[in-house]
This record gives sequence, C-alpha cells and structure tokens, in this order.
Amino acid sequence: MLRRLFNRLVLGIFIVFAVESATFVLMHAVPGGPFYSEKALPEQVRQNIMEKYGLDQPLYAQYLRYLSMTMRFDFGPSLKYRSRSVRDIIASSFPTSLALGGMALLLAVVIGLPLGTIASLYRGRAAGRAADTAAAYGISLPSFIIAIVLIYVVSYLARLLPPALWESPFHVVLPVLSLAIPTSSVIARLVKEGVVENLGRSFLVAARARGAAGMRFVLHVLRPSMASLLGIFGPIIAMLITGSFVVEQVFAIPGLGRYFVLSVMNRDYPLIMGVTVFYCVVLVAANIVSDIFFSFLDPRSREQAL
Amino acid sequence: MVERSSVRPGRSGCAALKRVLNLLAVAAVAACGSACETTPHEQVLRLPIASEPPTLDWNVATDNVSLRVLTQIMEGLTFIDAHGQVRPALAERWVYQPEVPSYIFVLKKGVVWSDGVPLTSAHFVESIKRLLSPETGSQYAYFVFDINGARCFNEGRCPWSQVGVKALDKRTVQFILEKPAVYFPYIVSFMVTYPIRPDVLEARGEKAFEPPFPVVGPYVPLEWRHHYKIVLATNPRYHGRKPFVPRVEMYVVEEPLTALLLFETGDLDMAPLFPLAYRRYRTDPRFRDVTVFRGYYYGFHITQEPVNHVELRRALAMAINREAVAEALRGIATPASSWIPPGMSGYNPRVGLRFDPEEARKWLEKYYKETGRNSVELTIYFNASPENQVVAENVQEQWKKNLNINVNLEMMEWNAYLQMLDENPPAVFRLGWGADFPDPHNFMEIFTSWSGNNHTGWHSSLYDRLIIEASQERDSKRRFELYTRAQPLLLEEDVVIVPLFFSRATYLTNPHFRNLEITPMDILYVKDVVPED
Repeated sequence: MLRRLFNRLVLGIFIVFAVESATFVLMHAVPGGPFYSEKALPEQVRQNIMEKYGLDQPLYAQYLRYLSMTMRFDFGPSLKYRSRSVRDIIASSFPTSLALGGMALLLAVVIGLPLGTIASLYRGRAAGRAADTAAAYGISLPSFIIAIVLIYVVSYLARLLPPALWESPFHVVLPVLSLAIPTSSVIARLVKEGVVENLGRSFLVAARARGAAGMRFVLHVLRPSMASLLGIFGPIIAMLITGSFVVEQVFAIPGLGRYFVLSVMNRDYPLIMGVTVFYCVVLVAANIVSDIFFSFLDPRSREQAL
Repeated sequence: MVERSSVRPGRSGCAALKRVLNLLAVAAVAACGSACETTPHEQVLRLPIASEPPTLDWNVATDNVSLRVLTQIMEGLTFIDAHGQVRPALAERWVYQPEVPSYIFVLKKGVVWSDGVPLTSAHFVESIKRLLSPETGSQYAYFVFDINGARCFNEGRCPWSQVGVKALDKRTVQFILEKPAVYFPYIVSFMVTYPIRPDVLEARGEKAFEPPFPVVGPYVPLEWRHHYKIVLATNPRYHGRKPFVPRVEMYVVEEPLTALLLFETGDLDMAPLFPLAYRRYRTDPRFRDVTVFRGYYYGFHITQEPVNHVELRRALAMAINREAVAEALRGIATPASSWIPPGMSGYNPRVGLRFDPEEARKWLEKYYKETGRNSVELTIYFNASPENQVVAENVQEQWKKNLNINVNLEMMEWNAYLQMLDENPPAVFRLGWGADFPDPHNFMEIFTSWSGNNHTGWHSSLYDRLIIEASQERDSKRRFELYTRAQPLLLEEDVVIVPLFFSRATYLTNPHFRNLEITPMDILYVKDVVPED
C-alpha cells in the first residue's frame, strides 16, 4: 500500500512538471500578449513593463524561473491585477471555490446516490424510469442553463432567494444547486451501472439467501458498486472545488474559477501558470485520495498493489 | 413586469423553507459578528462594476473600472464636469505662462489626506516622478509626455532633474511643457496624475493600495474583497461638500443579466442595460441614457489591396447607412458621420460622408474603370463580441445590397486581434476609441503620422500640421476651424476611416437616488448623488 502511494506521488510530481511545461509552451504559442490594449503603448513604455516583469528575458530563462517559482509556489505578481501576487489571488479566492464546490459535491452525492439506486433497483418500473429521466436531464443541461432557470424562477418570479452575490446562506443555495445537479446525474448514472453490474453476482444472491432485505440489501449492493464511482471522484472533486467559471460568473461569486479563464484571456502569464499548477496539484491529490479509498473498498485492488 | 420589491428571503414561499432559511440566517449572523453590521438601505448606495478593478494604484491604473472607483476616493488638480468642462478640484486656480510655456497650479488651502496629513505640491511632483519612472512600468506614462523631459526620463535617457515638474512652494506646482498644449488642464484631471504619498508607499510596500489607505477624495476605501466588492464610506476630512450618501458598496458583477436581476430584486441601485433588454426598458421611468465620448469606426489600411484606391474607399463609406447600423444595435449607439463626437468642442455635424447609395455606385464604377476589375471581395476583421458581430453582419449586408460586393467576416479573439493590428493590419478592420479627456486633440491625434494608434498606414503632413496647430491654439473659434479643416482630410478626401456610431451608456437607476448619472466621459460622481426621502 505504501509503495503504491509512493509510486503515485512520484507520478504526480512528474504530471505537475509535464503540465507546467506544456502550459508554458502553449501560453507563449498563443498570439497576443499581456500588454496589448486598444490604446497602443509607445515602444519604450512597453519595453519598461516587459523589463519590470522579466518578460524581456529569453524564453528558456523565463521557463527556468517559473520552475524555481513552482518549488516555492510563488509565481510573483499578476500582470493584470498589478498590486497583487498570484499566491495572494489563489489564497483569497480558493476558500470560496472550496466552500461552493464542497457543498455542491455533498449535495450531488445526497441526490445522486439514491437516484442511481432507485434507477437500478426499480429498472423497468415507473420509479426507475423517472429516476433515469431525471438523471438524463441533469446530464444534458449545463450548469449555466440550470443557473439561469433557477434564478428566473426562484429569485425573479417567486422572490424566494437572492439571484446572486455571496453574502449569506440564502445566497449559497442556487449556485450550489446549479453545480450539484449535473454532477448528481453523473453520480446517479455511475451508481446505476455499478449496481446493475453486481446485481447478478453470487455474493449478492448469497446475501439475499441469508435474509438481507431492504436497506441492508441496498448497502450490500452499493459497497462494491462504489468502485466505478470512485474512479471518477478525483476529477469531480478537483473540478468542483477549483471553481466553475460559469457559475461564479452568473452568481457573481469571488471564486478561483473566474481567474482560470480570465488569466488566459488577459495573457496574464504568472496567473496562468499559478492557477494551472494549483489546479493540477489538486487534481493529482484528489486522484491519489480516491485511489486510497478505492483500495479500501475493493480488496482485489489492494491485493494487486501488494 | 414584476413589481419591484426588495428581496428578503422568507417574505414569501413555503413555510418550511422559510424556517430552515431563517435558522441558517441566524447562524450566519451569529458567525459573522460585528463585521456584518448592516446600514439601513437608504444610507447605502449599491453599484455594480463590470469587473474586478485591476488595481487601485492610480499611477498604474488604465481601465474604466478602476477609474469608476478611484473617482470616488481621489481627486486631481482638476476634474471634468458633466458637460465636459474642466473645473478646479484640488487646485484653487491655474495660470498659463506662454513665454516658458508652462502651467502653474495653486492648491486649495487646508486640504488634508484622510489620515490628517496636509496635501502639498510635493505629492503631485512625486506622483509624476513615479508615473514616469521606468521601474514603475506604468502603461499610461505617455499621458504626460507633453511635460518637458518626461519622455526622455521615461526612456532612461535623462535624470529626473531635467523633467519640467517643480514644487515652487508647498501650495504651488509648475509644469513646464515641451509645447503649449492647451488641453493640459484636462491631463491633470486624469487618475494617473493624482497625488501620492511616498511615506505610505514606503511603509506599506505592496499593500499600499489595499484598504484602508489615505486618500483625498469624498470617500475613503473601507474594504476590498477581491473580485467581489469594494466598500467606501464618507471621508470626514474631505475638503469639499460632504457627500449625501454615507456608504457605497460596489459589487463586481460581470454578467449584465445578473446585474439587471439584482437591480430588479432591489439588491443593486443601478444596472447597465444590454441591447436585448433595451426595448423592454426604454420607456421605463428608471431608464437613463447618455451618448458617451466613444467612437466606433471601420478603418482601411490604405496600402492594402483592394482598399488602396480612394474611389473604392469612398464607395464603401457612402454605402453604409449608419442609422441602420445603430438600429441593429438596439439603442446602444448614436449614428456618426464625423469623428469628433457630439458634445465635444470641435464637433461639426456637417463633416463626413453621408449615406448615398447612388453616389457610392458611381464611385465603385470609377474604381472598376480605373483598375480594369469588375468585382471586389473584402474581408472585415473584428474582435469577438456580440456587438461587433451585429455591426459586421449589418455592414456586410449593406455592401452586398448597395454595391453588390461580397464580404467575408473574420472574427478574432481580442488579444490576438490587437497583436494583428499592431504587426500586420488587415485591409478593413474595426476599432473604437474612448476619450481619455474631452478634448478633440485626444480623438484627432490618433491618425497623425507619429501615433501608435494609427493602424491605417495613412500619413498626411497637412493633417499632422493642422493637429499640432490646433493643439496649441488658445482661440476656441480658430481651433474649431482647424479641426473642421483636418476632419475632411481623414473622412472625405482620403477616406481613411468610416465612423459608424458613438456609444451610448444605457442603464437603470433606483429612483430613490437623485443625480445617479453617468457623464459623457463615462464617469459617475457618487458625491453628487442625493437620496430622496
């Protein structure tokens, strides 16, 4: 188990390095630059700025500088938000994305698990078909459509909740729902697949023969079925907690997701590097954690590791 | 339309939800303690800002959102009023000395920063020094290049002692100019020239512009929750009349639809209107609009085929009905023919080519005859935005209908588009210009031979001479004549650009607040806003 963990960590470090290198190459390959604006700058003014931020150095020197910055997780000042460092931007916006994504994940599991279980155990019946339909709609509708529909109906027409901003628990409900609904549908689908796959297995037949029924039987079915779900849990967690650009934009939430997109549009090189590396680290960590859980839930995988 | 009411969750809806939410609210209030103390709504003005201000460091700020915030907390030597006139702000008066040439500004007596430190002329000198210093890397350093030695210092070729900014005494600051620029009092109204406190910069370093920091404007910054909101409160040491609204909250709302919904639910007191919402709200008593000093044009790179023939350029310009373009934009545009916008001195409505499809076809025939061709194919380049797409499709349709010309549309991402304009401008491109200060020089200088903003490849020594002459002409009538001679060179004789429209700021305001209005410079002075009883 420890050896497996060690291997995954080494692989993770390699992945972060590879992603950082690819990001560096791509962001310099994209046309445009951080200081292009509608109002052209005199050449010397542009030169002063390039020198200030070390952008006049050869690309290999800039690349080495970014690598050394990654070690310290200090990417220097943002080129767009000039009074702030990249580390400060991530530190101040990530907690919001983490809170939003964490609540959305929790809600997605609370909705998705029973929905998937119902869809599989009641296959072919009305309840199963209804659960299937709900999951299909949830998957098909992107978060921003759900967000706009929710705002229009719940906030504008019914006046039940505020349409945007991030002030109180009331403000949390709609963005969390917008993020959770599509994810819960993915979870429901995976749970259903897992359960259906396991339903005919001998250990379940044995469990039933031993008298397992109702919730006890459901738990019996769910445990091995969670394996397929855990396979994508890493990316789902990373996706949710690092922020959703669209949901944050629509609800005016100060999360990290907006910076991820805006940094590219602004060609804010240090911010692009910082946010990408951060995102990558979270993704790798989430995958390792879900891997550990996976090995606990599925003894076969534990044996393989040994 | 749904009747407006302030959304306070729990007023309606099912009782169970209400109970749960109330419990959560109690928990939230308990958790946030004194930091969440509320002020009665009529005491707070809640405004949207379209993005996170990139910085509140006024020496390096360049954008409108930073300006929207900085206008409330800082002042310059002068300010621009709602009619585009320059007025005294921190300066009591100024005089022009033609023999040097220079401007001398005398500061108002008794002005202090919000932390009680007296304002002195040295704070202005330090500001210009920091703005021009190559280490600051300020994009708008060129804004004060009219000052003697400023460019040279910014390029690192001269010492600071050669720059023409001097503190003559504690209340007097002198700006020695390279040429007698009559628009200079406008320059010192702009944010990059606001005074600075070197002691604060030194003591606070990178955090110098994180609230709270000392200011001289009507409001002080209390809190800046990045990418979310900025909170301002009245400055008790402000030198002028105390603002009527004691607290201002500016929320970063990037999505116009969200801003509109927040306005409708009473969470914001102002909302910008987008074209789709215009028709619905234009008769609403809360609706406001103003034509701002921002021009939108199609430019020709006159050395590129096929627009290297003036006959074709003239035909193209005369085949566009600007009224139709403005109509397609649903209210956010005022049709243009001249380049200097209405409301600005030098504006002449008679300047510019008019829509005349008959005449346009004649010019196209002349072009065919001269070149021996019988067809034209063009590509319009523009940066991706719904507004630009609408305009390009409308012009494409008009050129096809009026001239039978096939037009392709090429849409590009903004940053890549700007690089292309800079390095390899296409034959036909779109661009705009928003006034930095409300003087025609700011609009007309763009197309001079030395301007980095001239992407047309057009150089006219006569035009250059007229612009220099006008920038130094103190007689307003004579100045108007010079611009009236220069504009036709650009728009009628050589047809370098086709002005299409001037932008209009359309927005909704809470009728509870009087004077909540945007000026043609796209500035909002919150200190003038009055809450009604």
